[in-house]
Amino acid sequence: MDYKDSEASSNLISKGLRNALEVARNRLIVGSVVLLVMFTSVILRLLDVMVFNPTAENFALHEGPAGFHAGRADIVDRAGSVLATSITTNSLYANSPKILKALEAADKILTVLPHLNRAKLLEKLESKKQFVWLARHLTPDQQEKILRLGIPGISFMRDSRRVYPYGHLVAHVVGMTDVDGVGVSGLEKQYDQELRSTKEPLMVSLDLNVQHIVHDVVKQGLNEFSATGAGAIVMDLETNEVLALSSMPDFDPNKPVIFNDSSYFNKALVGMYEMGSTMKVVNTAMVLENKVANLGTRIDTSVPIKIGRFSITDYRANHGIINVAQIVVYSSNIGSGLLAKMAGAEKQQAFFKKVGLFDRSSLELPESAAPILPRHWREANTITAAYGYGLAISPLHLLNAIASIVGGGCKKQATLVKGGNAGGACERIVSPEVSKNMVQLMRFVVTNGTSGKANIPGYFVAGKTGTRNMLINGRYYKDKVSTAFVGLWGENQDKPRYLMVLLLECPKGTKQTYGFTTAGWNAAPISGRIMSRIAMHMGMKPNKIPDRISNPFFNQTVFKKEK
Amino acid sequence: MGRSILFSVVLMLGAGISTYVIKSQVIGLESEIVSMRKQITQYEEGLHVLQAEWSYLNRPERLQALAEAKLGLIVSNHHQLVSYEPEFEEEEEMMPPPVHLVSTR
Repeated sequence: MDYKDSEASSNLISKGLRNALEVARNRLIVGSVVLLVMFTSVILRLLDVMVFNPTAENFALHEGPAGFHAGRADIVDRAGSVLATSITTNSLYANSPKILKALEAADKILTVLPHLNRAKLLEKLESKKQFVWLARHLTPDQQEKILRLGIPGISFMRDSRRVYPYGHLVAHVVGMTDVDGVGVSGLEKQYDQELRSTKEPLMVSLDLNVQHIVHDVVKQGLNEFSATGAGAIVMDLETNEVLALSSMPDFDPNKPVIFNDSSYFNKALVGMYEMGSTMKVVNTAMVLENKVANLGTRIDTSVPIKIGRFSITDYRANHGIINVAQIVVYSSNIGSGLLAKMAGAEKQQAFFKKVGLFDRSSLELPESAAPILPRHWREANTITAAYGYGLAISPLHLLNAIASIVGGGCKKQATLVKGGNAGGACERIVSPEVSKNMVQLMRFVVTNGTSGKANIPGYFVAGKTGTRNMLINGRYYKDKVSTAFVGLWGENQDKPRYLMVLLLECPKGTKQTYGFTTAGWNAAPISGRIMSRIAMHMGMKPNKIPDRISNPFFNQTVFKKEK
Repeated sequence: MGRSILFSVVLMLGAGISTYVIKSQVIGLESEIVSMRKQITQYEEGLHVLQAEWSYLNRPERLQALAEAKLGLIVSNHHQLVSYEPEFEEEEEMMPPPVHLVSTR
């Protein structure tokens, strides 16, 4: 090998080596660039996740079976007492293809849950369905006993159940849910969407203590007078909040249900009744507001009004020539009828419409009903409507109408919303003066008229009773009546604070009432007890109630005292 | 050249280790969250049951019956409330005096 050769070969080697190094370097650059790009993207992503977007975007995905919530929100009263809540229970289901001996399994299950129907249970166990409910909402005790039976193919699933701790007390307002937790009546239905979507409890205007007072006293009253049913509402005149709403008979929402039972019917809201003489308050306010007559206008009530073959008379008395104020205090049918006739059907209807008597009864509840009105509003209807016959309205209708009249004269609509709905623009129903006079007239009904038994010494109580014969299948019954009382009360006459309506269905006479069944003997004293207890509960201070107020008219008028 | 390789190796190692550490931390935290959620749910469920129980035991109906039976209390009456103001005197229907005070005359 000579030098030239060797030089040539070394040249060759160095050339090959240089080529190889070149290639390696290129590969290395490409490789590290690729890696750098990849790692940069990883780092950027990490920065993105950790620094720029630290919120956990998919924590919910990790929630798994532990994320079970006792679904529906609670319903609470104005003080926060739980009216309805959801608790977690366990429900029993079967994977029937896995059940080996259906007959034996059924008998074993029945030893723990004897209320189940054996035939239905067997049918379910043999159904070959992979999922079939056997029993819902078991107690922990029952669950343990079932587990101890060791039957293959049956298991438990967590389930949520609605409970109503106060049972009967607020049943009609709160309503119920079905077994799957869907609202079917009352607040549960009205606010179904809200209750499902939030965890915040739904607070309503009800006051559980007031509700209890109403419930307790009305229940006693029902027994005392053997009445078949009752409806009562208490409202705060300042805020229009409903503090209590009770309908009897009532039901226990915690017990399994029979839907055609009449106790589910909310009489205070959708029960339609002719209201009798309580309507004279509305009619008189109409007459005064339209200036058809004033308080002193004298009317001859000695002659019964004849309509066709019927004649309208006054209850047990002939009052002779009396003024408008006396018509209300003595509760004269003839006088009220004549006043309505003087005003005319048009004005009367317009006023009734204005106070909401022609609308559907509505509160924040799904139940509502339209009043029953005469098909053709003739003069006879105008006259009878004046003392509460011929049109049937709910206790809520009456409450709203009277509230609008006595609560200062602006339209009032009772509400279950906490905080009420007062404070909007005033829709004028009657002038403040007429409103004040109506309150004073109702005060005289208590001090001198038919509602004496509703009076509470030391407090300002004003009211009006109403009795009407029951209309059953198109016939009025002489011995069956429904009675009503509407009353407002407070510490003094300038500021009556609360308004209530009570309706009794079919009260009977007792020895204490000398057999009388008119409202003054049953609805008025029961309402008096309710008002007295609520006044005590609300801490109202008893004080001297003056006999007469500033309107000089009342100082000149003499009201005979009812004996 | 060598320096850039060293740099990228160190970077790789650093990124790998930090990713690993963070990942395991995240897994740990997530399982902690799950168990905490479970606990919260349990407490919430317990709370609901206790609230229902509390309300059930505090039914005004039951309290009234208990107060009447055990404490000898009765439903208060407006006759029992008297104003400080001297001008107010109850006009009618005073509570009848106890039997032993009724005069025999």
